[in-house]
Amino acid sequence: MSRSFDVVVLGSEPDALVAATGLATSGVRVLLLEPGPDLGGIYREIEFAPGWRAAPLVPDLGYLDPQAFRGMAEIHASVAADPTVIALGEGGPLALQRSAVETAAALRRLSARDAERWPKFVQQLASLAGFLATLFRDAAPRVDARAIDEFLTLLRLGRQYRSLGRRGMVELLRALPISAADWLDDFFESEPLKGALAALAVTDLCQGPMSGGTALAFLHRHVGAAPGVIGERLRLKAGPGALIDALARRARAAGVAIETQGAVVELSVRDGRIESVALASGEAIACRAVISALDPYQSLLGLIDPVHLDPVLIEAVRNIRFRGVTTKILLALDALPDSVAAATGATPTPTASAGAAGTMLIAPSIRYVERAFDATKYGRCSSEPFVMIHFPSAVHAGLAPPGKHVAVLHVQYTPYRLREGEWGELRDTVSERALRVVEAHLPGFTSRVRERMVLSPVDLESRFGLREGAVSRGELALDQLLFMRPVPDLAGHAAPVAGLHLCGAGTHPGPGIVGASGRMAARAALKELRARA
Amino acid sequence: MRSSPAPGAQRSHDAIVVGAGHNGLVAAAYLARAGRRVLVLERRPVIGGAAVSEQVFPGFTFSVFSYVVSLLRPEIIRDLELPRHGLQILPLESTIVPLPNGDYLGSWGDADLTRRELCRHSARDAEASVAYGRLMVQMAQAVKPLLGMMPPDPTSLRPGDLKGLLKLGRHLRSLGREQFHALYKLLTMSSADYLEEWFEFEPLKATKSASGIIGTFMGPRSPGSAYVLLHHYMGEIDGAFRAWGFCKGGNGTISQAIARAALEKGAEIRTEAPVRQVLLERGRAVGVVLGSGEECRAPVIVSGLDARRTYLELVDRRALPDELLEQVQRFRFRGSSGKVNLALSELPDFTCLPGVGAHHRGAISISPSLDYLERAYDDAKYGSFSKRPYMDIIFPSVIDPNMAPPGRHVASIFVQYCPYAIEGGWTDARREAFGDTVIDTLSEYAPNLKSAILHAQVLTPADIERTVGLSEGNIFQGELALQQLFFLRPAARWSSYRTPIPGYYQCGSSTHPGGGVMGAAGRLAAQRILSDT
Repeated sequence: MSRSFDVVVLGSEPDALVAATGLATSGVRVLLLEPGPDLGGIYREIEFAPGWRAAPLVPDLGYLDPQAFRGMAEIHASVAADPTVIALGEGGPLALQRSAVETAAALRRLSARDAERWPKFVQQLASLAGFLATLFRDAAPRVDARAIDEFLTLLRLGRQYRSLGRRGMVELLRALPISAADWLDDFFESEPLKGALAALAVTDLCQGPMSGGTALAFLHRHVGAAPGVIGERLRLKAGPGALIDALARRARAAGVAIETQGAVVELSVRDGRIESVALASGEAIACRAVISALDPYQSLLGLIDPVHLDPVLIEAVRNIRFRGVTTKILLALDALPDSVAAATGATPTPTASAGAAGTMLIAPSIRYVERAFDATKYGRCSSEPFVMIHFPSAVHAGLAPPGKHVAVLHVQYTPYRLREGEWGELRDTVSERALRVVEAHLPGFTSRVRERMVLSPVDLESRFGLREGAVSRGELALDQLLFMRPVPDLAGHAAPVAGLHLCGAGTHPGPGIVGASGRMAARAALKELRARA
Repeated sequence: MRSSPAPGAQRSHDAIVVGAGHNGLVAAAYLARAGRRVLVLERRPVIGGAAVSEQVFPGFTFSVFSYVVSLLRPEIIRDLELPRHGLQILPLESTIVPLPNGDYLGSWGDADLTRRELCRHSARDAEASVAYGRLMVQMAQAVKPLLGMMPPDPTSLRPGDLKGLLKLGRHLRSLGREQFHALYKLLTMSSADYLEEWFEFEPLKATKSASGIIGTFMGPRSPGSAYVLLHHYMGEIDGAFRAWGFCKGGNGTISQAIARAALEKGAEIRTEAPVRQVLLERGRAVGVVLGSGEECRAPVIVSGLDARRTYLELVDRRALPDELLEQVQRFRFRGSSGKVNLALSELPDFTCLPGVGAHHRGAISISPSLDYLERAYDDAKYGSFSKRPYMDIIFPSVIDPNMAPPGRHVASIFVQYCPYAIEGGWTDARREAFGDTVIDTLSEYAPNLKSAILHAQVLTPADIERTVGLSEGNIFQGELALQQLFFLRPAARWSSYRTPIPGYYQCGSSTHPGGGVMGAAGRLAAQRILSDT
């Protein structure tokens, strides 16, 4: 065995880099291994047509955990303008902007009552999401908490809960199990608004807006969002790859050794303790601990000999629901169609892109989204999917040749597990259906498409290593959150094998909360290393 | 300590109970037992609310609405000596699920027989069902104390509520980590996902999951539907008294037995005495006004009606805080089930089990697969009754021959989904079409059914609302969804049977622990009143 490190980190998405940096800063010798040729996993742009690039799975960077990103001025300097959601539905495009006043003004056209309630909705959203942000700052509270630090966490949570006020406390308790449809119905009456918000609630979920627990998914998606902002949290002018570059620079500066093409095939365990990692190249690297940012299924059942694991745990990991339902379609556009500019309220010129920086959403009503979901219950793709459209090139011009544009369609529902047909044949059908839906709302769109790449859930799995094509790395549901994520007994970011720690979207606090799990895993690993030393 | 009567008022009663449903009667009986002079006022000519036996057709007696005893609390049976007052609960031991392929899935009173039967379909499931049954009994034991617990106010800092919350916390902690996680999963998952972790045989999963959708407007794949699975097991642990079964003489006998217990202790019951309004004086409830204009006065008024009627119809809304009104207005009823009562010349002859047999003594469940139930839900979601509904059928005349003339029979068919809010509204023609759908569907499994029908009574949620007074025909006085349970039932702060109006109490199924012929709410309300006054 030639090489040896204190800790080996698997994967190179932000949580992996945050964990590696955290450990290295504390004087631990860290090696970070990325299985592929480039760092960043799903954060890295892919070139899908000569000259056109996009990172289709990260339209929104999510909530950057403030502690994990402390001091990274270059990121804060690169933040793009506040995003806008434009709901395309009956009665013309509806823009949901950061300014509650402007959004309310736009809503008045649909319903005076909804316009009046919008500021209250936005305020409640911010306060409930704010509570979740506190909850997500630390490892998930445990039921049998005895340690003093966990008690302090509970105490802080209790105080935060109280600070919601009586009404807020009730709203929180109610919002956890309720369906997005019921929750939204209590606020609003206009369908275009409710449809758009419902679609945001079920994005990447194998649930319809009438299913219980989807209001919580909506809240989770808005943790860390600036008050008033709907649908996404953060975009960088230079794209998500810039985040990876910045994190990698910081990691290297802290002393982390970073290697690409470092696919790990096995975690060797002896006496219930991680001893080394075996690489595909045949090399074995000795280490005292491993932090895996791969999905929990892969980390536990793919890399460890099952004899080292409790059968109950194995069963629990097998029962994690992934269920990818999203197809991403990457489109190379000659130009932005006039209809796009018109929908954003900008003057239609072939190069206008200012208004296209946000999200366009085709989900005209709750029923529309629910009907689209129905198909997946029976293993089919929706014939009328809901579609979310991003134009990443409108934020980051370098993604397309000058004057040209990139569009990414998020198409839902298209289940990983089909009961009829196969993905090999369905890709084109799904793409045709999605473009038909888009064309109906944005006339002239299709004629601008020069190249396309369709990534079904099966493709997302093979290309990005996302199990079942689930970008969440474990469905966002009440029973797969907090102390239940990824599975009940592993929620403290520690695995059943000493020295193994998990992080990434598949662990607490879940997808879209970036850096927090890496920070917590590093802390847990460090504590363990010091206890052993 | 008792409050003294308002000056000038003539007080002949200590308490008035509005509505002689089973919970109202239980509350009355407990109050009378404690020496209070109680008057029960019932709008209809018969007592019992939805727990009534009526001779709908000459010679044929039906439990018109509720048709089984579910979880009637053993302490109530004991305290009120219900067996002495005529209550006799007979076993409903078997459940037969006829399958489209002509086979069936049976579960019998005899555990061995059931296991062998299940083995016929899936050896794996037969084995899993042992462990499943064990876990569910443990879970039922974990939940059972909550059924009899006065829900604390989760938003309060009052010592009593904090004590209650602490007690709840201690109880949950005492379960230990594993059981707590299992319970948490049951509370938050969909019944389909939960059962899929255990079983593979579709009819088994479907039949078990069906109990999770009864009385709610959810499909088996919606998170939050797993919790009700427990109810079936709670009956099993109650031991000496059978808490689940068929009541001899129909469900009216339960109401009669409770009423007799109340009368024996001096309560007074008046039928055809509709309460129009609760009288308030200086913010206190002091009596009621009947439809006839007559006034009855008492320092305690207990409403057994649902939350909507209790708060929005019986009292002046101006006497209630906005916080409560808002919660009550969004409390969801959405009746989703109908009932078909048949008078038969002979028993249905099931293709899967020809002739008359032991299966006629138990329940017949039309629930061949999860997809079947989901499709039934899809219809309801978009405003029509299920074209192929879920049905739970019993033949009371087989268990209790007095229910029908010699040689004749009655069938009680519980049907879901039959939405209250049907597209276009309920009309006679739609009711007839609904009845035909039920009979047609059942005839596919028992071809002689149509020729055996002498009379049929079809009840939609609109009929249930009109006859019994249950808002939107919801059989549980409000959906049993997680956001409407325990301290949120019917509203946070007012889940402990008190209302904001001094002297005014609630005791119906709109309060904890909700619906089913349980009586727990009536008993807890009486306890609350006795400790308050």
